[in-house]
Amino acid sequence: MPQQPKVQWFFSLIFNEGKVTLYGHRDRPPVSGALTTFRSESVVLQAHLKRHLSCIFICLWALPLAGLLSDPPHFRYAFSRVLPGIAETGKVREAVTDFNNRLMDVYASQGVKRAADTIPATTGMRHRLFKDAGFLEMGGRVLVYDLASLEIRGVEMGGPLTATAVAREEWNYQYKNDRDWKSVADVRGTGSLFRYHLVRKGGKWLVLKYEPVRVGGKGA
Amino acid sequence: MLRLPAQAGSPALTLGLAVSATAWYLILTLSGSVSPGWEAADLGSFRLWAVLLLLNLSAGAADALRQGAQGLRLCFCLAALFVLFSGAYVYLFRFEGVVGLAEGEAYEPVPAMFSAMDKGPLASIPALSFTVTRVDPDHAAGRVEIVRQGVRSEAGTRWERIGESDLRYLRSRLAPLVTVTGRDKGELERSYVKLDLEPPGKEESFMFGTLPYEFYLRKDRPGKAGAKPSFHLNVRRGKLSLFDGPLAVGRKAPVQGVEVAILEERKFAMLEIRSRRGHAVFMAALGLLALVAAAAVTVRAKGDPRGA
Repeated sequence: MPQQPKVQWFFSLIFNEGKVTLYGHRDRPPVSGALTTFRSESVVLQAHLKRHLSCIFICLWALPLAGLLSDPPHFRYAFSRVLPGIAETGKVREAVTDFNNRLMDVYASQGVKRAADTIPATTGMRHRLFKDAGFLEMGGRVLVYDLASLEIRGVEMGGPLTATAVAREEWNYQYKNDRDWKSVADVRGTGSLFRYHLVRKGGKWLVLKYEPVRVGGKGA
Repeated sequence: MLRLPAQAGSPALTLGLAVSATAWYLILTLSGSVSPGWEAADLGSFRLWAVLLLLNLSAGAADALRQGAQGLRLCFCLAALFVLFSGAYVYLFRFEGVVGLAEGEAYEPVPAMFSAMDKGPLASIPALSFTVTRVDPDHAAGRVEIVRQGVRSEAGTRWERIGESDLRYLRSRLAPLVTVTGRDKGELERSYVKLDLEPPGKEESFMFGTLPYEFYLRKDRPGKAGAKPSFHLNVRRGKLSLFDGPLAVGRKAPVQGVEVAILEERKFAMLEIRSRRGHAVFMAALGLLALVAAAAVTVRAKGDPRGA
């Protein structure tokens, strides 16, 4: 295989009156011009330019490609800063809606494992719901929730693995006797703004916690 | 096949891998996808790049040894490998955490003690043994007095060496003593709750493991000088609000058959504990690499006297 002749590139940085100019010279070092203010600028880098630039170019594209396969949330989040359409706000909205729909089942079933397992929530949140339903059962009560309306007002991605959603909710609820499901109190209604904190785990968005939002300020 | 080590260890590939990793680290950091520091090393793509760099530098060192008269290139490959290995060691064994300790409370190396924690895959919680005896809040110059193995010492806002770890004072807060009393069952809960309620109006929530309620507490703005602090309490259960109103220290709030009260407040300090095993070696490795790189640039610029 014939040996290709080596091509050498010489670069010089010329500093003049506050301006910096980069000059490239093939096969021969540059000759200092009249504009050069000092002589130490002559050769800054000597390299096989084409080969080095191709390596940098390929690696620059290969890393995000590998990243989209191994760490899709992180790279998608980075790209979503310039392409907002690829952000996962739709999935966050779905998770919040699904969480509230399934929350009714958890309470109505007094926290049976099957209902608690299907809700898109972290283990800590599931445990919290399960515990609350269990406390009600110990008191001989069932809390029947009915979601009258749910309007998701906004979703904010806090990072590749965290998101916050604010929703306006209206609920009807009624306490019933757990033996015969006879009502022990009237049906009541409540409406509030809630802020949901979600995390991405195992490719799914899960509710970590939710808290009431006080209008005109942060918190309850 | 004989040319494979030379291709795999080519300086152009080293440059490409290093430049792409640096560029994407900056892009991901600036976009907020990863936080500055070691978080990028948790990503599979960056770990793959580290392995590729490791193979590239090993092949480069082997190639330099085989060809001879490439001392500088060999030094560069070995220095870069040193940086990679020492960096991996620091990443695997790093620990940083924030712990809240009240006056008279002893530190215990258990995860539940920490309000925030960031540790490497092989790191363990620093097994320190000390007790906070006094919290001296003074904003920027606050400090805590600790007793360790019978010896009294102070820790301020600068890092203090304790065993193999470092410790520093972050801030101090007041933990309210919250009690929950049942009508028939007496006192159900009695705990100092370490919350950061500063500045007034900032709200934090907490729960007790034995009760189904969530408590949202905030401090009202201070009134007259010397007056007792006043709180605003919101007790919730699921989607329902059970109590929402002011609660003065010593008063009780009725909630579904129980009474909630705040009896007093107790000072506690937020302390930051870190362990940076191998950090000095890593910095030395970086310095060595910078020296070798500077030497390489100088030789290139002036021309190798041997013509290599």
